[in-house]
Amino acid sequence: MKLYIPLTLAFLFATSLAIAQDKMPAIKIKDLNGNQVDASTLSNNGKPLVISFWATWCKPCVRELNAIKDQYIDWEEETGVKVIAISIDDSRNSAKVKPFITGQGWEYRVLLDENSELRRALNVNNIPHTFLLDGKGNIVWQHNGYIPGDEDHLYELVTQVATGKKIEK
Amino acid sequence: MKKIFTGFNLLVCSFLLAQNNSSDLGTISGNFQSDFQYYIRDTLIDPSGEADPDERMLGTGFLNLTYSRGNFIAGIRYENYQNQRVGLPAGYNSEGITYRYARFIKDRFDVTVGNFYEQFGSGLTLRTYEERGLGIDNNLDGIRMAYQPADGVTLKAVIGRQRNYFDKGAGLVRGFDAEWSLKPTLGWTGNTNLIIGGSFVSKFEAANDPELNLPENVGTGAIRVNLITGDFNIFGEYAYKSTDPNSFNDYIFKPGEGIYIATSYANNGLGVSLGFKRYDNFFFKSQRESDLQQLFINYLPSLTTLHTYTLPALYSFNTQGNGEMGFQGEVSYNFKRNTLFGGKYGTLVTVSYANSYSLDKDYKLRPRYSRADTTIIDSVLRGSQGYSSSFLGRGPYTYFQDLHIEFKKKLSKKWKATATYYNFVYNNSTLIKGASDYDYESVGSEPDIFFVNAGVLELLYKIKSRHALRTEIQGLFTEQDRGNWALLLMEYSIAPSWFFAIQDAYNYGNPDEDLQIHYISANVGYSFGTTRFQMGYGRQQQGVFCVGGICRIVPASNGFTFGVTTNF
Repeated sequence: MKLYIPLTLAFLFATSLAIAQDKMPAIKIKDLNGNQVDASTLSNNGKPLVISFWATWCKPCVRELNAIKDQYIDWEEETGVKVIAISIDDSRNSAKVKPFITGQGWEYRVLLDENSELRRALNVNNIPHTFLLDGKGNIVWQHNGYIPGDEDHLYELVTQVATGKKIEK
Repeated sequence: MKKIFTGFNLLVCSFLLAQNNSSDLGTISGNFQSDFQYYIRDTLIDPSGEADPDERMLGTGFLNLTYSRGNFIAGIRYENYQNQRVGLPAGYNSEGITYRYARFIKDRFDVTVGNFYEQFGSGLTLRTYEERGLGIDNNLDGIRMAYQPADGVTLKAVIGRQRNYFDKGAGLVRGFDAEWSLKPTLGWTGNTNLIIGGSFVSKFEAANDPELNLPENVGTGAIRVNLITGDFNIFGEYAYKSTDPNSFNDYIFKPGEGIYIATSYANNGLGVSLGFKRYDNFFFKSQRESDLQQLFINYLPSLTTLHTYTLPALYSFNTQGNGEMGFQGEVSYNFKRNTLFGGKYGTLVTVSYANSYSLDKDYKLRPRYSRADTTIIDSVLRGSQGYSSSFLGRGPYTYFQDLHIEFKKKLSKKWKATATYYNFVYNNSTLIKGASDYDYESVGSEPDIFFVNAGVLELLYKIKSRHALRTEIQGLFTEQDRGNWALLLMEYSIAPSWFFAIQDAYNYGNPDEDLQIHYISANVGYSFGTTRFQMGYGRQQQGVFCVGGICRIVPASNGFTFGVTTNF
């Protein structure tokens, strides 16, 4: 194991110009009709895209998605942004996802990552975890956790992306 | 393992160097998580000092690195536990690379070499996953291949050995799964889809028991059907396992069965889900003797709600893989705004019921004879055919029952409220102490049952832009166990960076007056970009972690905690 650290440092150094995930990986998840969806194809026709990892049992996640719901009509109208909510509920709860979102009244596209495969590929530790993608599908920002008001900050960034401004990571 | 990893790392590095002139070097991303705890001796919660660690301070750390370039992904995870934190299984007391893989995805092919996670169907035959907070990681180290011969058809094959702490399990696991989604293949239009699938998983473990002739190969097979229309979703899976005597089923020679059905209806604010489960001798592990949580090959969905508020979560259910039956029904309805129940903003009401009870078991013990003549000395379960059970027969023991009703409402521009009532029937002997039906039957005892009522009121108050106060008021009432509890949590947050929380859980109804104490804790969190720091101080009440068919008691503790997570 002693070789591990120097090798990893070399590994990091060799790639120091390209740190951070910049695109969605080609991992397959499912939509609510059981169709496979390749995560690398998720896009919003040149407009910003918000991808939020959540689960039915995760209260902060639900709070975040409900906070966005209250403003979603305005967000869409002003910037064309879309939200995709990716549930990591496993088979214990995945059958409840559809009734759950119906109850919440969410109009997001909801996808299922039942065994957290995409979550792992994107190095998501805990949920909620939110990614912001620009119109070209580049991941330009990500955030872990939710506290009330975070949605306002997210929307500022969405606006910047929609107007083509570069945002600080 | 060291060699494999070093070789792998060299491979990746040389690959990178070789690509140095190209403009696309690929990307590297990752995450890091570390948690420390400094323990303070607390004679109130732990008079004998048995839960108090000698180390005083313990820490864990995780680093994930993922490299991707085009169709190629590779990753490693380094973990360290110095030493295992209070509450984690004892085997987590080392450090090393526990996960490394290289994966290539191209067109219809997907190949992984190294460690991987996989799930077939709902998991009845195979599911490997990681839940590090609970100390669960049963990844397979081997080869995984997936291939799509046509649109909608997916074939998967896996082979490998499972992780067991910082080592591997003794059993070899082999699996195959096929799934056919008819809609894309047959070009159906509209919302209807029918997905059928089947899987076969087997394990091999050498056997040399002096008394029993144990099977070295054990196989499970499953078929599943999922019908999806616009509003309805009906999923069913049936699995069968050949005879698998092991230390978790008292070495009985009996095949196992698992049935899991989940249906739902969702339309226009109304959500309904109905589920049924029946697991009979269906724990499937890749080693006959292992620690409780380790080396599970399959996963049995518990079909109960996962509660996350602190007090209701004290009475968590966990799947009884050796035999249980139960169902769950849940209805939620969103009363529209500007109606009688909906008010100005609408109201969401959810009613949920779930239960679990024993199978109707008729034991078939094995007589043991004396050497001299054919006199029967005794009769034992070990080595017998176990029991017979009628398919829908209800056994004498209730394991669990959960009824809860939740109201969720936005009260005004500034206030949101959620109120929940819970009623639990909790079989402590089975769920926590791990007693089997046979333990009750053989000595004629009855399990300890707790009857619990609880209520939680959560209020969210938006003080001004970015400032919010969240309050939880919880009460839990029972005449058994540790008696009544009250809990108050206040959390003040300033988006996007800060939160401050203080919580008092007061066990005022504990039958032991010395234990009628306040468990007070305070936490501060700070986020900066993708990095999050959290620190706190407090006395933590004894809790329960339930996972993979096993509940584990986490002892009470007192001390400072510090945690950091980051992504890059």
